[in-house]
Amino acid sequence: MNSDFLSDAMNEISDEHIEEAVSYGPKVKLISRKNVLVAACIIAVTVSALFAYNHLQKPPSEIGVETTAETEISDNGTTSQDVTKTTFASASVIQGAPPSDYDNWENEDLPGYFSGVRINGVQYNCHSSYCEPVDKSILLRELGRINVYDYVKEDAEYIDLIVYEVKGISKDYAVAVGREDGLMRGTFLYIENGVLYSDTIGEIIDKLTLTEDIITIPKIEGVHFQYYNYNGSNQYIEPDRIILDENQVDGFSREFFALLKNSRYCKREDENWGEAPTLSFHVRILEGFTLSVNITTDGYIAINNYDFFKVSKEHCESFISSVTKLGLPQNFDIEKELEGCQTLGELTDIYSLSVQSSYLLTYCETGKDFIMYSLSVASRNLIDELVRSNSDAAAVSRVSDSGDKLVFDTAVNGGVKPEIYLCSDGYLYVSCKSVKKAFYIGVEEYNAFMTEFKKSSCIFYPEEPVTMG
Amino acid sequence: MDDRQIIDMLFKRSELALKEISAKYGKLLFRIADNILHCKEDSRESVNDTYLAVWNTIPPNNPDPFAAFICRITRNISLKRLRSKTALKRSVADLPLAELEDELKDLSFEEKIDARALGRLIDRFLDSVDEESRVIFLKRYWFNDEIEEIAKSTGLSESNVYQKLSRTRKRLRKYLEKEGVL
Repeated sequence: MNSDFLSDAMNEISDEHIEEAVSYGPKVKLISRKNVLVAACIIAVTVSALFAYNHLQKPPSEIGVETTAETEISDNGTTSQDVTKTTFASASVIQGAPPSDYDNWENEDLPGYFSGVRINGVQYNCHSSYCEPVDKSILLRELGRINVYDYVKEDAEYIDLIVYEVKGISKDYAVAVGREDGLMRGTFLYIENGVLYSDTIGEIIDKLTLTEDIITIPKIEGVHFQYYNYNGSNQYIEPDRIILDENQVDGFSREFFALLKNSRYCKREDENWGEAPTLSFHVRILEGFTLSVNITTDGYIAINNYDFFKVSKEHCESFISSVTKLGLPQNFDIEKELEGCQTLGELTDIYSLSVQSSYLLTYCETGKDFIMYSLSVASRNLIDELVRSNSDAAAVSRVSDSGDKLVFDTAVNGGVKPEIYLCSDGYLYVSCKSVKKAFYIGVEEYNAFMTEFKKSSCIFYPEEPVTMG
Repeated sequence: MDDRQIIDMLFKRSELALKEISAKYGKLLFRIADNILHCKEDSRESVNDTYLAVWNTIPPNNPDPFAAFICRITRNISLKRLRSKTALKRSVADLPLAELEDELKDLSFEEKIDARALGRLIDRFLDSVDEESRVIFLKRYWFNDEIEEIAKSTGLSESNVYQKLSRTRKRLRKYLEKEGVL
């Protein structure tokens, strides 16, 4: 046998295995009870000794070791970096590529740039693009700081990331991380890497001290739940989107937690659930960290799409049935719904303009080629603000528009997609089949919005050509 | 940016897609190439050839998963380069695969099955091992990572990684014997 033969053979390894290796992260090891006791004794003795030493030797503010700065730049131009100055015994960050062409990076999300932190050998991650900054009220004491080289700013410099303990969850399993300058939208919850890889649902509940009070089901892309059904030939069809009122959402957070509790001994599986009807939604922990959840009628709970737990089919079916019965309009008639909207606020209760499935908006300026903008967090906030300040704008019947248009890519419901666009004549237009409505925003407000919008969004198309090779 | 969005941009023939691929995967691809070629210049060329190959093949290809697709391209380009450049004074025999070859050296497969069939057997074998062992095996023998790198990325000690690799190699040997390849 020769190496060439083996090398060719290794070419047959499946994509799934390669993908798994690409995205693999270190896991928490479970240790035996005996070793836990032994470790606990050693730790108790060590901590006592260290405490005595620190108390005698060091000022209270110093809790760690300083190391030399190291920044490694690889030959293809990307960078990685090790710990610089830190107040932990050891700490580093998992740092993504800096945003390109962003003038408003400080309004972007911290986890998009620092996707993880590694503290004293324990890695915490915050990957989800839907995570929100946590409220200051859940932050307890500062655990320490990690000094990092921040090359996002024009004049790059070292900054501190502050790591906090959070209320209600052990710092072994979750911390909150924010920049000392408060930029990049605030402080975010980072979960220890192994938590979501736990072998049972009960372990996840225990590690995160999950209760119904800290779980919420937020609106993502304008909806709370999406229900995927399949026709008889196992063919995927467009999902039904379910939007609930506040009371109903509270009710389902409780029901979801009850489902988790009832499934606490259910184990992780390594297989996909196939194509059973699926209820898809997001769950937020402490109003910050977001997990995507899929529950199937054949008894699977999948977290973040890759971690499957086989649970009771009856419990899953019951949960799905209660959601779809209450939230899913039996005969959703989009024309009728739009006809019933009397104000802009009522329209955006059905369709959230700022959080759509597509991140691109098309801008058509009269007499010019169209431009596509990709939305940033700042531009989404601008849209939210525009809607909020004009939520009382009454619907008028308006046949024709004139001027430049910013077109929103709205969610599809029941296969019908309404056309919604903001026009430089000062109106927001909505049309779907025979329904045509407009809401007056005002020309001045339109101009002010578009000035800020262009500043806060990136031009996706057309772009400068990239030189290859 | 997620992979689906990158592929959409490729379908729209937006060269911004290549920027995004470089930002997201550039380091990984360079590592794959450099693990094989151990020459920065050649590794850079392999990565650039990868971007060109991606541009030329998507569309019509619509790969999923995308990461595996692009890693595979880089690996193949690098292996081809290694085989053709005798001046490199390195060959496929210098890759970590030599360890695997050692374990299976007294088994002669070539007469019984071709490389592809052996590869599919190894792939099936990997389904039967635990995730950690599987990932370590692939990082060593597909990505050609050094032990130190594997230990860092998995959070294990180097000796632990050695142990797991050794056990997995032995289990693979037993598996292949059981499958009647011997």
